[in-house]
Amino acid sequence: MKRQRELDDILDDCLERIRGGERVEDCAGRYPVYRDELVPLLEVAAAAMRVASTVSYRPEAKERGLSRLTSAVLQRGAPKARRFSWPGWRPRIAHSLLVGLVAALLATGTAFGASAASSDSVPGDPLYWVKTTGESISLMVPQSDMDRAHKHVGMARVRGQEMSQLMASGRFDEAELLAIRMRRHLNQSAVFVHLIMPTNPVEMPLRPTGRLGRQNAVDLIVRLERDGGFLRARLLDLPGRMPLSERHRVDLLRRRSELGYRIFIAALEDGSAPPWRPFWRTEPPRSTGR
Amino acid sequence: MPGGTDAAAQDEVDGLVRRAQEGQAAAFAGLYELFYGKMFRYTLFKTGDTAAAEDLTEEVFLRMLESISSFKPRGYPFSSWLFRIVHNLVVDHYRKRDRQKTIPLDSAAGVIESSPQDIDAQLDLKLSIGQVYKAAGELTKLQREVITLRFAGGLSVLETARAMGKNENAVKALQHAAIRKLRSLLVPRSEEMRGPSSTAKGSLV
Repeated sequence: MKRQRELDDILDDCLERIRGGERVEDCAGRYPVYRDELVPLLEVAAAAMRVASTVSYRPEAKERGLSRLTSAVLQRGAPKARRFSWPGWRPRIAHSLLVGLVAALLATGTAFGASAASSDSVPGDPLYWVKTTGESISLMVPQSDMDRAHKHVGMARVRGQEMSQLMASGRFDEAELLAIRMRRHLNQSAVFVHLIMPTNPVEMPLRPTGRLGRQNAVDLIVRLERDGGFLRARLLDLPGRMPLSERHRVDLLRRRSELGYRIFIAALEDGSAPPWRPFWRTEPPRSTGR
Repeated sequence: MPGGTDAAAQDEVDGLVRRAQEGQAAAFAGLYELFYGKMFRYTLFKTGDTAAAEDLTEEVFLRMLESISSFKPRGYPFSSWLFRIVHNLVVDHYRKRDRQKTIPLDSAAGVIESSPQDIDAQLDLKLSIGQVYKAAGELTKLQREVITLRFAGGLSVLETARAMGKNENAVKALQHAAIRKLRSLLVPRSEEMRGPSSTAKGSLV
C-alpha cells in the first residue's frame, strides 16, 4: 500500500517534469528502485501528452467565440450605460415627442440653461439626453454636405472628450462604446465629403477623385488635425494617474482613435502624398479617353 | 505553463478574474485567450467531434460570463471552476444527444497543425490520436476524467482534484491506474501496426 502510494507520487512528479521538457529516461533515472516499472508507464503517458498537445483549434472558430463573448459582455454592461436613455416603451413615439419638445424649448430659449448644463455630461448623466438630442436636431437643419461633415467631426470631438472623462473615472467599457460612436461620426463625415471609409482598419478609404474642393479638404484637415491632436494629448495625460493594469486600455483606445483620425486625414490629403504615407485605393477614372 | 499554473501565471489569472468580476470587457478577452485552447482540447477529447467541441468551448465562456460574479477564489483555482462548468456542459451535451455515437476523432485530425510535406508524420499522428481516444474510452469514467483534465486540459493534480471534488491522492491513484490501463491497451496495438521491425520495448510515437 505504501509502495503503491509512493509510486503514485513518483509517477506524478515525473509527469510534471516531462511536461516541463525532461526526458522519460532522465526522470526514471531519478528513481532507480522504480525505474523498470516507471519507464513503460511514462512512455505511454508522454505519448498521450504529446498527442493531446498536437490538437489545435481553428482560428476562425476561436475568433467567432471571442466576438460572441465580447458582444455578450457589452450587452450585459449596456443597461448601466443606458440608465437615462430613451424610455424602452414605444421608443419611436418617445423619441419624436422628446425631439419636438426639445426643439420647441430650444426655439423659445427656455432650454438654454439645460442645454448649457448638459454640455459636460457623459453617458449615464441625467442631462446627457439633452446633449444628444441637441446634436440630432442640429443635423436635421437643412445645410450643405460640407457643413454636415463638419458637424460630424465636431460630434466626434465631443465623443472623444466624453471618452476621456469616462476613462478618467475608470468606466472603460462605456468609453469603448463611445470610441465606436466617435469612429462612426468620422465615417459619417467622410461620407459627406464623398469618401468611403472601410470597416477594416487595415484598408484605406476609397477615394473618388475631384469631388472635394481643395479648400474644403484643407479646412477639414485642419480641424481633424487639431481635434485628433487634442484628444491624443488628453489621453496621453491620463495613464499617469491610473493603476498600471488600466494603462494598456487607455493606450489601446488612444491608438484606435488616432488611427481613425489619421486614416481620414490621409484620405483627404492630396494624391501626391510622399511614399511613407499609408496607401489608399483610388477609383479608376471613368473614361480614360485613350 | 507546465503542470497547470505556476505562481506568476496564477497571479495573472487572479488579476483577470478580479477585473472580469468588475465587468471589464478586456479581462474577459484575456481569460478567453488563456483558456480557449485548454477548453477546446478538453471538449474535443470528451466528445471526439470538432464541431461539438467548438460549440461547447464557445458556450463555456458565455456561462463564465453569467456566473463569474459568484466565483469566490478562497484557495479554489479558477481553472478548476471553469473545468467544472465545461464538464457539466459536456454532460448536458451527451444527455441531449442521448449518448449518440461520436465521430472517432477523424475530424479532429483536420485541425492538427502540420505542413503539407509532413504527410507521413501526419498519418502517424492521426493514428495515435485515434488510438489514445479509443483507449481512453475503455477507462472508467473517473480515470478518463483525470486523464482528460491532466493531459488535454493541462491541469495540475491540485487543479484536477478541485475540479473533480476529490483529494490529490485519489487523483494520483486514478492517474496511475489510468496510465497502466492505457499502456496495456495501446502498446500491443501500436506494436502490431508497426510490424515485426518494431522494438520489443514498444516505445510509442
